[in-house]
Amino acid sequence: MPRRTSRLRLSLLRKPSPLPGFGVSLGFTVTYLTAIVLLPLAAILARGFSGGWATFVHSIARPRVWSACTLTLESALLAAMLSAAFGFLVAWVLARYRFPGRSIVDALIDLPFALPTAVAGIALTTLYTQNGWIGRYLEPLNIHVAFTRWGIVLAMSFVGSPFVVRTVQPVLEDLDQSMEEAATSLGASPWQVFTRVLMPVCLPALLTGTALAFARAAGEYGSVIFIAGNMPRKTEIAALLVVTRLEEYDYTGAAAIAIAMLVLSLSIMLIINLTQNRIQRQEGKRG
Amino acid sequence: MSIQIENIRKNYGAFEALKGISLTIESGELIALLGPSGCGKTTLLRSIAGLESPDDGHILLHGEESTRTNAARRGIGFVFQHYALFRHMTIFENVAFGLRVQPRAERLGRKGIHDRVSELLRLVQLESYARMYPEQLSGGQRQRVALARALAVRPKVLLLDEPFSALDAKVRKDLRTWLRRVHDELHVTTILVTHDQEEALEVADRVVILNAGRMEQVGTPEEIYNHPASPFVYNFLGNVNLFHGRLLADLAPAGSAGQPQAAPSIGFVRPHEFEIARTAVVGSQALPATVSRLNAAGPLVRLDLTVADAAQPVVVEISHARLRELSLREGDQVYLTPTEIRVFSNTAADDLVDFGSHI
Amino acid sequence: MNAPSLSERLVRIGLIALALLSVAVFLVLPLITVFAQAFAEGGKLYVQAIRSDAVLTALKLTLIVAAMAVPLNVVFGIAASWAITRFDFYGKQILITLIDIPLAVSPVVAGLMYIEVFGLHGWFGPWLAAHNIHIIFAMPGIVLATVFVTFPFVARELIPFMQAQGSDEEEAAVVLGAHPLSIFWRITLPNIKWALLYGSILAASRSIGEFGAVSVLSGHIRGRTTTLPLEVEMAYNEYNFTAAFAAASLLTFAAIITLTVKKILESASGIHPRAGQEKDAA
Repeated sequence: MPRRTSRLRLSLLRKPSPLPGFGVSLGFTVTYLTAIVLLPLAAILARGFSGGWATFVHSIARPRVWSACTLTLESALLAAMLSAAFGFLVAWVLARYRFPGRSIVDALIDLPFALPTAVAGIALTTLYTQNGWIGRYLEPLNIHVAFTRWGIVLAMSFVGSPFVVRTVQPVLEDLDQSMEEAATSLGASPWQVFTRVLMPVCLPALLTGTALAFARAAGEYGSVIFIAGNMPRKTEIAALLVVTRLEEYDYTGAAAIAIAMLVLSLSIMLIINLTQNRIQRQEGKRG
Repeated sequence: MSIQIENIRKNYGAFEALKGISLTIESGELIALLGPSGCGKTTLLRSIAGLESPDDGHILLHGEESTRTNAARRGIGFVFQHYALFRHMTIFENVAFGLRVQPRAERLGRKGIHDRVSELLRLVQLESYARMYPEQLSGGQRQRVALARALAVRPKVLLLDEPFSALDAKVRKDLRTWLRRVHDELHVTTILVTHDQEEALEVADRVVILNAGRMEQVGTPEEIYNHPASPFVYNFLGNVNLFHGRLLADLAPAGSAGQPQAAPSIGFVRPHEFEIARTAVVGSQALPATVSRLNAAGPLVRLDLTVADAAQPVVVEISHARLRELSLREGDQVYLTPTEIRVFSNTAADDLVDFGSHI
Repeated sequence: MNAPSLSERLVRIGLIALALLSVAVFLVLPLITVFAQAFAEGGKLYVQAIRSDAVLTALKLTLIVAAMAVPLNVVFGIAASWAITRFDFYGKQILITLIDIPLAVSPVVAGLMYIEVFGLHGWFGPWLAAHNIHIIFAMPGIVLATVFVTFPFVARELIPFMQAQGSDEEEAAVVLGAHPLSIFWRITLPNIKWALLYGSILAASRSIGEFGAVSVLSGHIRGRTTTLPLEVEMAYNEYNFTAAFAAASLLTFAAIITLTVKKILESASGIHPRAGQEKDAA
């Protein structure tokens, strides 16, 4: 028989429900989230601002921090674009063509998700150093990847590309073939069908995937620190700087940078969520 | 533009969708391809459009061999069952699409395109919707936009793939009439695929009946309905009662309806092709029957009659006036005489999937 | 559709070739490198490295952490998706957003967050020190950080799944008079088993592989607070490449198993691989 729900729970519920367990499940969930997410978030905010606004700004405005942040953002942006190009190509091929080995490729796309970042880091470094399997071909061309900014971009795009593939692929797979046939029957060439009918439909997903790749790249640590070189103001990413500050016992400084990174990544997440909601509501209206 | 279809075959793996179809369609005709699901009508339509390639046979558009021509260059307009409107474009942009993708040399200028689109939106009575998006329109409106879009590039053939089947019954009827009107105005050769026989008979100049990849019959609606060439056609177009064995012998003595002697046969009678009387006239071929159900809702009265030795009730339709004349009630005893009966041999009727009277 | 023309076929082959080439260079080569480097000095040295104390204890620690973090997150995932998909309440959207936070946070920041709560100078620092409880630079800290980065995975698989299934069956059970636990055990659980398994695999894989957050608060004490990814880093920084890649090969192996199991589960249950933040329950 349904237990009597407490007044608090009743006021939280928009509609009464015959199902049991609201109080328990919600209570547990909220407690867990508070302990695991909210508390630590609050702690880091407190630490970053423990010296007031002035100290916070001072921790951020230093040249080394500034270099690290700009380096991180620029590299993440470049990496996101690379992920977008690679990711779109792969999503296209996976969604629209059948070829031997397709399942394996489909499974491999998630490799950067499944592989520990440290493993990716050392593997990429080994590949792109002067004597590495790929590095040895790039050296003569005067293209240096390891221990330069390009290494950072490379590692970041490695971890970011699955995001693009997995957001674009479902959209391409769900495309109604009759739209393409309609365009063809109206006289459009394959290129026109692609640019005027297919791309506009994929664009939102592509942008979302790229934004996700960007957010991930900006916070990436494990796969970047091995290939980066980590020279302050040259190849030092923001995440590494946080660790360095920690090792110097400058907790406030570390927290300040961390807060800046949090603001960036949480804003991106929020924007993506809001646009997703809007898109989904529109989809719901379609007959 | 006239269309010549010669011996088209199409297989999907082991499944033979089209088994050798040949057909000539005159310029300006409105033809309906009619048949049950899986009969190949959509495959045939898409082959004419160039959206499928036949494995064998030829398609000639206005006398020119077009079997391998790309769909973009056949000069056809295609209307899909689920509209296939471009979701991310406005109604105006949808209709303008075909005009905008034309090669630069042939393309109309901005004003030309604008005028043509407005003209078409007027034709389909949706001028005020030009700036809206497909999701804001009802199903019937979307289909009209799809038609306007297909007509924008002045196609020589208009192909419609079950265009109204996704719509409500009332909207379907309205659009049907409206399509006929548009066709009469524009005189474009039109091919309509449908599984709704009422639609085909009402709208088309000629009807092609397809069954399991083969053409069963071609003719005007009157020809097809009144002179069905096979049991399949008879059964498909409208409701029918079937009589075998002794009952058939009673209703249609050997030789009287043209059936071969002593061959097992089936007789077909439509519900409205019966005479009902309270008394039997001596010497006539009347069957005694009891009224088991009477349904007077609708334009005609439907009677279910049980006949001795018949497995299912015989369904008869009479007018309300006749019902009043006879003052029939459930349980009454009456006598049935068919006014029209067609007899086919059993083997001819073998490919009928359902037997028995069905309404 | 229509049989493709020659140019269309060429484009298709070209694109497939380009995609396969990029995947090979970008994704497959790193995989191969790990194993190549691990065996660079011969099979015997590889086995020696694997069986070394450092690697074995790191492996053990990694597995223990995963064995603790994943069940915790499974319980959370079930509770959260039950609340979210079966009830309509104020603040639901905020809850859903909160669940996504770990996915947007840099692992280093995550580690730092826990230091600020449980570290010596953190909020509970003095209290913990007074009671001689070690969280940071000890196993509990590692478990906590791992829990943080992996808890969304189970919930995010369950939520859309349970949303799509609807609550009809459970409501029917209530009407028939079933006890809540019975409803959960006999009706809900069997229905969600695929999504649950899938989410658990994702969470397990991630907890085994977590590096950044654990690196920040582990103390890098071999034998006590070094997980396998950390051992990879430490061995690499000591120029002990065979050991580093040997450890890495174990983790790569685990990753390949994860990918395979994922693919099998996807075909068996129709679950699609998803990327980052997609909102389905609203």
